[in-house]
Order: sequence, then C-alpha cells, then structure tokens
Amino acid sequence: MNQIGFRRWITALCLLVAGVGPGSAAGFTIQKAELFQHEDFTYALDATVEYRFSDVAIDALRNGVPLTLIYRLKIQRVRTFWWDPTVFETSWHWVLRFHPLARVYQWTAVEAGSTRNFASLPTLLATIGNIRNLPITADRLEASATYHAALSVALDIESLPLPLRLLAYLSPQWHLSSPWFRWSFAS
Amino acid sequence: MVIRKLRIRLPLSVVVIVLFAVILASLHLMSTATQDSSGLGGMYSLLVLINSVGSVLLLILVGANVYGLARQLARRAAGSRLTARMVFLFSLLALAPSSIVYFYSMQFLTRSIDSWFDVALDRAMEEALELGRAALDERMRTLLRQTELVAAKLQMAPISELPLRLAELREGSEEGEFTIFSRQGRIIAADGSQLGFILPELPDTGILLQVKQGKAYIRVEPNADQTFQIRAVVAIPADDPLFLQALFPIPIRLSYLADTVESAYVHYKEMSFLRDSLKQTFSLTLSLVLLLSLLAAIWVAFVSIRRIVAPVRRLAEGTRAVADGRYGQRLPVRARDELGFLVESFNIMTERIAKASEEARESRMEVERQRAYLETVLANLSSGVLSFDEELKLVTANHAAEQILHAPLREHGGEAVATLKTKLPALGELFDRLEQGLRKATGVWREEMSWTGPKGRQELFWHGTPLFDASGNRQGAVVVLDDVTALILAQRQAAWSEVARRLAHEIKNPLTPIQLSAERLRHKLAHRISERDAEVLDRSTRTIVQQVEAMKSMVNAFAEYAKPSLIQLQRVALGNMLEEVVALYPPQSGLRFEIKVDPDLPELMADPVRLRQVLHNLIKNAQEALSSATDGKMSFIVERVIEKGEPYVQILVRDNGPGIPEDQVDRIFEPYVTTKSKGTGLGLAIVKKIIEEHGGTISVDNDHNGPHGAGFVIRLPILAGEVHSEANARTTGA
Repeated sequence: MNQIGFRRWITALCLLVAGVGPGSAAGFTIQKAELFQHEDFTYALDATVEYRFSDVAIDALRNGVPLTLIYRLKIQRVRTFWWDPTVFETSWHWVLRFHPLARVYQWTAVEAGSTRNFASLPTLLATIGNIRNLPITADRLEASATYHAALSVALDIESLPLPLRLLAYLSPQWHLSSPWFRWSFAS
Repeated sequence: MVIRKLRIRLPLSVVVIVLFAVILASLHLMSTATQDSSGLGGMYSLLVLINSVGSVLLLILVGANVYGLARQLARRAAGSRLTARMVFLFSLLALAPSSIVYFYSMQFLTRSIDSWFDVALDRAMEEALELGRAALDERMRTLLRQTELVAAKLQMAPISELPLRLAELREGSEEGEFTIFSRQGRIIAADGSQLGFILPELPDTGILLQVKQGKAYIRVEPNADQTFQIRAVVAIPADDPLFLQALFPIPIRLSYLADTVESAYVHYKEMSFLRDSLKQTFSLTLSLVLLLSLLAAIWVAFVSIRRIVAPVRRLAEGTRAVADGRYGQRLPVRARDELGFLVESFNIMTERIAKASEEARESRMEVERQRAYLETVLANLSSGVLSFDEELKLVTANHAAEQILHAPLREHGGEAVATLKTKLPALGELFDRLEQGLRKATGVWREEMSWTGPKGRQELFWHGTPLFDASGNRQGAVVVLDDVTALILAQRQAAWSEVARRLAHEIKNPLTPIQLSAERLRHKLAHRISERDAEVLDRSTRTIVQQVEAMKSMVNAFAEYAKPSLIQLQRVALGNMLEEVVALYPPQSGLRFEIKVDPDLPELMADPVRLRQVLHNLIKNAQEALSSATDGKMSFIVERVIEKGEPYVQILVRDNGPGIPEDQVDRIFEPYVTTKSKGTGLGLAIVKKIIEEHGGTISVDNDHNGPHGAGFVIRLPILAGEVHSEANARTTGA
C-alpha cells in the first residue's frame, strides 16, 4: 500500500520534472471496458486496451528484460447522499518475455499461472489487448445496485531489473500507465 | 529551545553512534539491494529515497549550522572563529580521503563493469545460441516430416474416422500429442501420451493464417516450467481444410541444455543492455553513500566541535563578565580534562576576586559610614570647625561654622584663604588673623577676636591645631571656632548682679543710722538755735533724709535685680492678667492702652507675680519715656506664633515715645543703660532676667523702633514644661 503511494508520488514527481514531452506518444489506453454477469452470477471483464510501448521498453524486452503489466480494477457502489464505498478492488500481473532461442514472445498471466507464446510482438499485443471473458471474483456485489468501475493498466517499474529502476523512475519513456477508465453498470 | 536543550542533554557519543548506525544500516541495505541475489531488490527504490531524504535532511542540518556559525562570526561571538576553523579542518580532513576513495572507486567500478563484456564473449554467446538452435533445427525437421506424413495419411479419411485413424498413426511415431481441429478452432480429434482431461492448447490466428497459405509451421516453444516443446502445425488438405497440430516434448537433457544456453544468453544480453544503467546506478549509490557520510561527518564535526569549544566560549564570556565587574559568574564544569581544569581554575579565580571586591566594598562602606558619622558629629557640633590643607585651601567647614560666621563657607570648599578673602570681604579681617596663625603656628594656638559681622558684634574665640602626617610633614590645620558673645554677656550680667548685691549690702546698712541721726539732729537742735539757723538745719536735714530715701529705693532696686529669684509656676491666663495690670493705670496717669489678645490663646505656665512685675516694669518704662508727651499710647498684641516648629506666645509691646537710639539697641537690657532722665536703669534688665527665667526671649522690635516709638517682642514657650522646670532648677540652683 505504502509502496503504491510512494510510486505514485515518484511518478507525479517525474512527470513534473520531465514534463509531457516527446515521450507522450507512448502509453497505454483503455478504449473500452465492460463488466458483465454470467448466468451463474459470476462476473467477467471485457476490455479493449491499446498498448503503445516506447522504443526503450521494446528494446529492453528484446534484450531479455521481462516487462510486467499491472492491472487494477476498482468497483465503487453508488450512493445518493453519501460517499461511494469501494466494495471491490483487485489487481493482476501479466509478464511479457522474449525467448531468443525460440524467437518467441511469451505472455504469462502470473496469478492465473498460464503462458502463451507468440511469434511476433504485435500478435501478442493484439491478443492481450483484446481481453474477453476474464473472470472477476466480485462476489460481494449486491443485486439491483448501481456501481462505478475503474480500470487501469501500467508498466510496473518496481519489477524491472534493479539497475534500470531508478532511471525508469526518472525517465518519461518508462511511464506507460493508462489513465483510469471509468464506467458505470447496474447489477 | 526544547531541541537545543535536548541536544545538550543527550550524550554526544550516543547521538553519533545512533546516527552512524542508522546511516550504515541504510547504506548497507542499499548496497545489499543492488545485488540481485538478495531479497531486498524490491526495497531498493525505497532505500534510495530514504537515503536521499536523509541526505537532504542532513544537508539542511549542516546548512542551518553553517548559517548559525556565519551569524555568530558576523556577531563576533565568543568561540565562533575557533569553531569555524575547526569545522573547516574537520571537513577538509573528511573530504580529502573520501574524495580520493570515491574517485578511484568510480574508476574501478566503470572498468570492472566494462571488463565483463568483450567481443569474444559476445560472439561466443551468439554462437552458443546458434548451436542450440542448430541442434533443435535438426530435430524439428524430422518431426515436421513425421507430422506431414501423418497429415497425408489422414487426408482421405472421413471426419468421423479421424480420431481412430489418428490413434493408429500415432502408434508408430514418437511420443507427442496430436490434435485435429477445424478453422473455427473446433477440436475434432486429439491423441497424445500427455493428454489428459485438459484440452490441448491451440495455435494463435497468426500461425493458422500462415499454415492456410500452405506453409507448415514448426517452432520450438518454451513452456512455463523452463522446458521446451516443438509445435508443428500442418494443414490436412480437404474441401473444408482441417489442421493437424503436433506437440513434441524435447528430451529432458536437451531441454536442460537449451535452457542453460538461453538463460546465459539472456542474462548476458540483459547485462550488456543494462551496462550503462548499471554504471549509473552504482555511481549514484556510491555518490549517495559519499554524500551521506560526508554530511553526517560534517554535522558530527559541528556538534562535537561545539562541545569542545563550549567551555572556551563560556570562559571567554566569563572573562568578559569579570572585566565588566560581574564577579558572580560561575561556569559549569562538564569535563575532567584540561579544559575542565581551566574552567575550575577560572571559577576559583572569580570566587576570590568576588570575595576581595566584596571585602573592598565593605571596607569602603565602613569608611563611608565613619565619614558620615564624623560629618554628622561635625554638623551637630555647636563649635564651628574649619580645616585647611597645606596650601591653606579650605577643606572642611561645618554647619556651625557657617552659622557663626554667617557665610556659605561650604560652597567655597577647595578655595585658598586669599581667594576667600576677596570672595567674602566681610570675613577679611578674620581670615587675615587666621592666615597668620595657619602660616606661623607650630603648635596649638588660641586667639580671641571681637568681630563685627553682618549680624552685629560678635566675640569669637578659636584655637587652631596644625595637622601632621605619619612622617611628620605638615598637612594643614584644623581650626575650632566658638561664638562666645552670649558667654561674655552672661559673665557681664553675673558681674553686675554681684555688684548690685554688694552695693545693696554695703550701702543699705549705714543709710538708716544716717537718716535717724539727721532727724535726731534736727529734733535736738531745732529750738536751741536761731530761727535762721533752724531753717538751714531743717532744710539740710530734710535733704539728707530725702537723699537717703532715694538711696534706699535705689539700693532696693539693686537688691531686687540681684536677688536670686524663685519662680512658682502655675497656669496663667495672660489676657486676664494684662487686663488686671492695665486697670491699675487710670487715664489720669497720661497713658491710653490698647490690648489685642488672640481669643484662642492657650494658658501659660508662669509665675504670675513675676510676670506681673514684667508688665509693670514695661508700663513704667513707657511712662517714664513718655513723661514729656501729653498723648501717650501703649499697645499690647498677644498672639500665638510658631517658629521652627515650636509654638510660642508672642507679646508685642509698643509705645509712641521717642524710641531707643540706634547705638543703645544692643545694650538696652543691660543694667544702667537708659535713655531716660528718671528711673533706676534696672527696669528692662529685670524684665529680661524674668523672661529668661521663664525660658523666653525679649528683643527690641526692630520693625517698630524709631522717633515714633519703641517696641519690644517677648516670646514665651507654650508647652515646654521641661523649659519651666529647667528654669526652676536654674533659679533654684542660683
């Protein structure tokens, strides 16, 4: 928790220092996100994400540096005369790695424990950018209530190799987090 | 303030040890975190931040200290220069070796990181990977052929028979996992040694697109568990084309080798990619370490130097306080070293100085007290005291001297006699005589002088004593001066009383026989001699008798004056008495009286007989003075006055006679001093005697004296019971 706050603080500081310059072309954007309910009342997430990695990040990936994407999902219940309490919060990590021997790009969903290999990076990005039916274990949602949901994805600088970490904090090329994508839904 | 106190109270060593422990721990954690193998990698950024914040805090601390020191220097505060010099030296001592170490460490770091990479290693890595690929390629080709063979055999089979055919075909081939699926990703048949209930993983759309175009897909794929598998995808030609996917595991040994090669390659590649970052990170860490330890060293230098300099500073301040005359300064002794010894010595010194100065102050006060006492004695002395130095300058003059000489002598202190003579011309004659004595006398000398001062004639008597210092040198002289006018007057009066008494005694006795003899002579001879002779005899004897009578009354008056009086004090209402006395003098006597008595006049303690005599004498005196005038007037004004805080009854007696001549004013109260043809010349002398016996005074009323009349002022004390008793005692004693 503290570390997240600290990271945000550092990010804000770096953005302030570096300004929004040429590096602003790179970055992640969530174009669409939706939570829906299956018939067995479990929830799943559909989302369309556009990943634009900076050249430095792609270069690092090709040189064997694994990149970790961190997703955060937050659900708040809407109340009319009172503040909206956060009823559900989750995050998950996806790791991208390049294997030079097989010349494949590997995607690992850390929490789910699954891996997939892709012959090219664009294919990989297209695949993971089109999130379909991702199960979300939000079982605390009440029926017939309105909720606000927010989703964001960021490149986890803390997961980078140590020598790269400080520089990554100081360089806008490594700040690829998406703004929060917010939407409302009714259960 | 609190922080300052706290800092002083905490032992320095503890603060320093804690500070260095914190810094070292933080730096150690940071350097440990830079090693990949440690579990602290995740904390690295936090540690860098903590250390940076620590550096900034230390920087602020050092900055504040430097600023404070600069202000102290500007103020020229005690000990600030020493502090500045020592801090500079400390900082230089800390900076020089650490800078050298830093410089060489940086160089060493850069070189050793660079030495990890070289072209040969680079190529070896590339070629090892190539070798690995070649080894796998051979296998892949075989497996692709095998897969294509299976696909060819399946080509003609109907869809329903495909699972059965697949199982048959797989019998003859290597262990692997075969899956037949449609374009839509629907699995038609699957068979494999490792296939359980889990559905086989299908290739992504990119691969299918490639295969659909007639190009078979074969590739080594890494698994999640660091093993490899070979995936081959071929199309099964048909109207509705199907795909055959074959997944072959790579033997464990080969998989292990391939993984090792790949890991080493990836690691090497990553390292060479991170080469610059690594250098930057290490140098950053190193710089931070240097900065932190330098700042800490400087701060500790500040704190410890302040402690070292503190006693010196306190000593300087204490010395300044002593120089300003504040001897109460005690410095705390905090250390048992040489400085502590110095501070202790300083304390002993100031204590002694304080004691000495206190003693000096006390003796000065004692001298002052004695001087004040002496001055009081001198001031209250009835004799005048004048002292002169060796140059005949006036040093001291007491109050009595001023009163006797009627001159503000104390204002002229320090002036020479010669100057005094010109400044106070009235004292010229006196100072001439004094000067002679002062210059010439070698021992005690006495002198008398009749001197006419501003307040009339005065008889002065003085004796002078030359002063000598311890070695016998003349230091000046002291002159004690007395006004003996009153004494001489009293002596004169006493002499007169004695004369009167003797006269009365010696003359009165023969008078009666003379008178009787004369009468007898007339009686015996009157009818024996002729008528003419008898007439002569009668006239002569009558003259004798008359003159003897006159002599008798004169002698009685003398006796009266000389008689030792015995006054009997009692309460007297002066107004009533005045009325009674005046009533005895009818208007035919040639006098008219005017009496004004203060209605609030208190009663007096007096002898009524004697007081009555005073009034009679005064009236007679006036009568005698007015005998020539036809319209005589006399007035008595009785009132209460307060002079110098003492209450008196004042009687103003005035007449409209010829007045008292100027030259007799001073002596009018002496016996036989009279301006009149009649009277004994004792009337006023007796009045004065009685008034003085009552403790009062009588004087000529200067405001009412002249050709138009004479006046007297009589003052009698009101409440002075003691005065009456004294008067009583005196008269009784006489």
